[in-house]
Amino acid sequence: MSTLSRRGFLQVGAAAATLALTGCAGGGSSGASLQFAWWGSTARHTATQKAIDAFKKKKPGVQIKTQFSGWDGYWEKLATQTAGGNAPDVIQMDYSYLGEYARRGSLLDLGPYVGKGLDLSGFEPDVVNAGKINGRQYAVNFGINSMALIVNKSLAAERGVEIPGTFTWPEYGELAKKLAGKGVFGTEDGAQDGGALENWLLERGKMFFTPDGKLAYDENDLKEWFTFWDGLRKAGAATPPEVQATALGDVQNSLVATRKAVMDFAWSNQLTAYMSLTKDEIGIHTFPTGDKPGQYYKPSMLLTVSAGSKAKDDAVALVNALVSDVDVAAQLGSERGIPPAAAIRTALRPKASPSEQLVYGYIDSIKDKIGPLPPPQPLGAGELHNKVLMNINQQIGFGKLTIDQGVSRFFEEAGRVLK
Amino acid sequence: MPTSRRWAVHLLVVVGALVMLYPLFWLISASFKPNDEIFADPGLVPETVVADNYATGWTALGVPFSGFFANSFLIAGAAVIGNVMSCSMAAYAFARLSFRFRKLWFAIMMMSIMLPIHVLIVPQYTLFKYLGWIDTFLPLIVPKFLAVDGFFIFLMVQFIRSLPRELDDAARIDGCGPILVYWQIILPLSRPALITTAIFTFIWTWDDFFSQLVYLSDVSTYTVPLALRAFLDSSGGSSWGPMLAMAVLSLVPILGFFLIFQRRITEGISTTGLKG
Amino acid sequence: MGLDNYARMLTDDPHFVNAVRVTLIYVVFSVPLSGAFALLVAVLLNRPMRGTGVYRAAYYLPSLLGGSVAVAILWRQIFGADGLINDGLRHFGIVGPSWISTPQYAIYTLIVLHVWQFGSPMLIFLAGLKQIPAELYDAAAVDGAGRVRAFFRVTLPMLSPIIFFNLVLQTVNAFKAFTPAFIISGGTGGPADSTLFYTLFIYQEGFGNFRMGYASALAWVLLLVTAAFTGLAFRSARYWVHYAD
Repeated sequence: MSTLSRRGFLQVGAAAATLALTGCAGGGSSGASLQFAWWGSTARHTATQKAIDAFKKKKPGVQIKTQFSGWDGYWEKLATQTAGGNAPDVIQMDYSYLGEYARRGSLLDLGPYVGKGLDLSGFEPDVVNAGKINGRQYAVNFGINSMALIVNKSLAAERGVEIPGTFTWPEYGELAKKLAGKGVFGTEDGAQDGGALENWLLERGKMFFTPDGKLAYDENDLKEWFTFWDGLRKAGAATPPEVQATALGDVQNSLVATRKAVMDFAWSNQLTAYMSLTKDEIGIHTFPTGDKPGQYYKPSMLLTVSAGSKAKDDAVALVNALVSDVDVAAQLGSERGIPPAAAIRTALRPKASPSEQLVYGYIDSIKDKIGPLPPPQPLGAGELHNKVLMNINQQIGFGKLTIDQGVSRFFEEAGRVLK
Repeated sequence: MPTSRRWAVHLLVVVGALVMLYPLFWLISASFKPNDEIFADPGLVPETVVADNYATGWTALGVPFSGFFANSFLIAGAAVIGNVMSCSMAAYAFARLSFRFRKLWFAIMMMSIMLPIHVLIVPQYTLFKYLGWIDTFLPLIVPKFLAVDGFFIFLMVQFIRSLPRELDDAARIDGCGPILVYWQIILPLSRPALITTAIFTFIWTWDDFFSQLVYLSDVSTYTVPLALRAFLDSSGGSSWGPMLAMAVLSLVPILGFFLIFQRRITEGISTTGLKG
Repeated sequence: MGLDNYARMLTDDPHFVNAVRVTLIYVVFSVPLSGAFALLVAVLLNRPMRGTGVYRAAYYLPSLLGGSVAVAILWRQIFGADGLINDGLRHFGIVGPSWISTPQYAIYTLIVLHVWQFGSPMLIFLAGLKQIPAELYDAAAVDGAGRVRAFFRVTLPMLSPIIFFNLVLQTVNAFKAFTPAFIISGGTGGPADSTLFYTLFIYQEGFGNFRMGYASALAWVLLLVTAAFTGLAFRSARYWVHYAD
């Protein structure tokens, strides 16, 4: 059983794909057929089809088969295809899954192509490095993103509270207290938000992981974090657990859109989704600040090439066109996040929608306040800082665990989950 | 039964039905709401009525929805034929014929119902990949002709076993072999079970998102559930209004299928004439 | 070394213990409740009445919607803090909790959901009722049996193979239930693992955390337990299920 365990699962698929490859006479660059998979909603599907058409005009002879779906199901399908040795050639990848796929040998190292078919010259260094795992360029950034507070300005106005330009974490707590009342809470319960915790740690000069993949914070940090939020919950400033549990991570259930809380911890590229779901005025704001920079530029999504691809050159050419070729990338718009290449940004910004303009402005405005990209995360990191953190915060919130018990349970689970 | 009591029962049934129908009303109402009202104001009466969710949704994926409906009909229709034929044969064998290891095979068949799809999908996918069937309808249709749905086999076994065996015996004495008994006695008398199988197969295949998702990639092969999910991106923006509008439309065929076929269950059969 | 996954399950995984507990509660409550409800409604709808087809469709509709978003939203409207249940309770001066998002109640809202989606067993019961020869009821009537006695003397025994079928299949399906928890908890099994169905746990381990080996081991345990329950049911069948053969 353990031969096909955690690590083996994706490796077997990659090996099977390689076997299939060696039996094949392919390798030629024209007349190839590419599979390109992405998730998104209808606007993204239409825009991406247009970009593919533009690419085909430049490279006639390349066939592109598309696989698009919503977010739900995308990862199950990709995992099945990969295990079955049939992964798509070009894969839109989420940052939280990149490590899993890269470390198991399912993805092609794009390093050798950089500068030779893959033009990343218009990218900031950190934006390039966000696609690296263990020093290898497994992915190309497909949209710049950063943490952002989403603020329901209409609710804040109803409470007659002005949201200041910047605030520290303690000031954030006070602000939330002022905003709370009449069944509305000042802030969602950020204790379970991995992005908020990371921000808070970075500002105190700590981080999630050391470069060799060990946890870089300790029991005391986490205890202080949980205590801070416990205080806000008890003061009625942050949402109690039974309200928080209805938020479920999707924007349509978010507490800001459903008018339960004034402020949500989110990502800048989610602003458009928030705005489309409510008639309230929605604003975007930086996270609370501290001694050191707590935010950084993170990829909203990435592009990867499958290690088993039979048409690697064409696959890289498609990736390159999507991020660096103005004629192709311009078709995509700014809906996936801020384009990483400077030239594409310049070309697309004037055409962006009003909500996208806000995101451009936001990403620009934090340019000088951000810190460097933290080291890449080990396997299981996503599980730890999403699922486990949320679960333990719920146990504390519902009184099933004390803060101390929660903290030690968290580190226990970390030992189990991190590889 | 006195009229007043009959009316009371009737009233109870009507009120119950209205409660059951509430989500349908909600779905229809929400499909006429703009995106920013669906979740912000989840009540039954739309504040603003917009009709273009239907028009937008129909063509939002670049291919009109009629293609997705055609694909779903093809897969669900073929699955109905396959399941009704193959499962009734397998059930007849389990219920009436004796063969080696019958109990063992039956136990294995039962166990095949007990595993969740999530652990079966990877080996299944690998198998169909070797057969070169990925991105075709074959993985979704061919197995149905091979009696792999233990649920329906067991269902029909139970129905066949509640038919008196004297009927078979009488037919045997008249010179019928097992195939003729199946065809002339068992099949006609199992009509309620066959119709039930047809209804469930159609509805469950129509709604079967997961395996359709895994086996179908090209948009020209997409079915209705795949198309519906392509509207939703929980990591970002979703087109809820058009999705809900198309979800309402996608209920029409399955509701219609149910209404037409459930009538046939109730037409009833009479075992009277055969009981001699 | 091949037993690592099993050792981990039994000694070092609080989620496993929790998933087993949640699933057992679900099975124990939802199977008998939904079975009884389905039988009751099937008997009600089996009598000749105007527009039975429409009523049947109406009662089947919740099952037709299955795991759609409409159901998820509806359940929050009913069992949320400001939901219909609490609106009702307020008339009696009771302030109810948010049933759907409080750990000790969340699982029960899913049981109610299952009972509400009783369409499939109902339809199977209806088909079974149709197969009961009418003359048996006539004979019972001649013997002076009323409706209730006819139900116990004719309907129940004649329907016992179908009741057995629904019992077994509902139990198996409750053991591997996935969709209700997935749509209501957004796939998390929360709050605080209170709706972490066993199959949802398998799914999270396999597709969320890429521990396919562990997921397979979990699935074997599920198969073993379900098969044992089913075996027991088949054992008991000889005492109460009446076949015509």
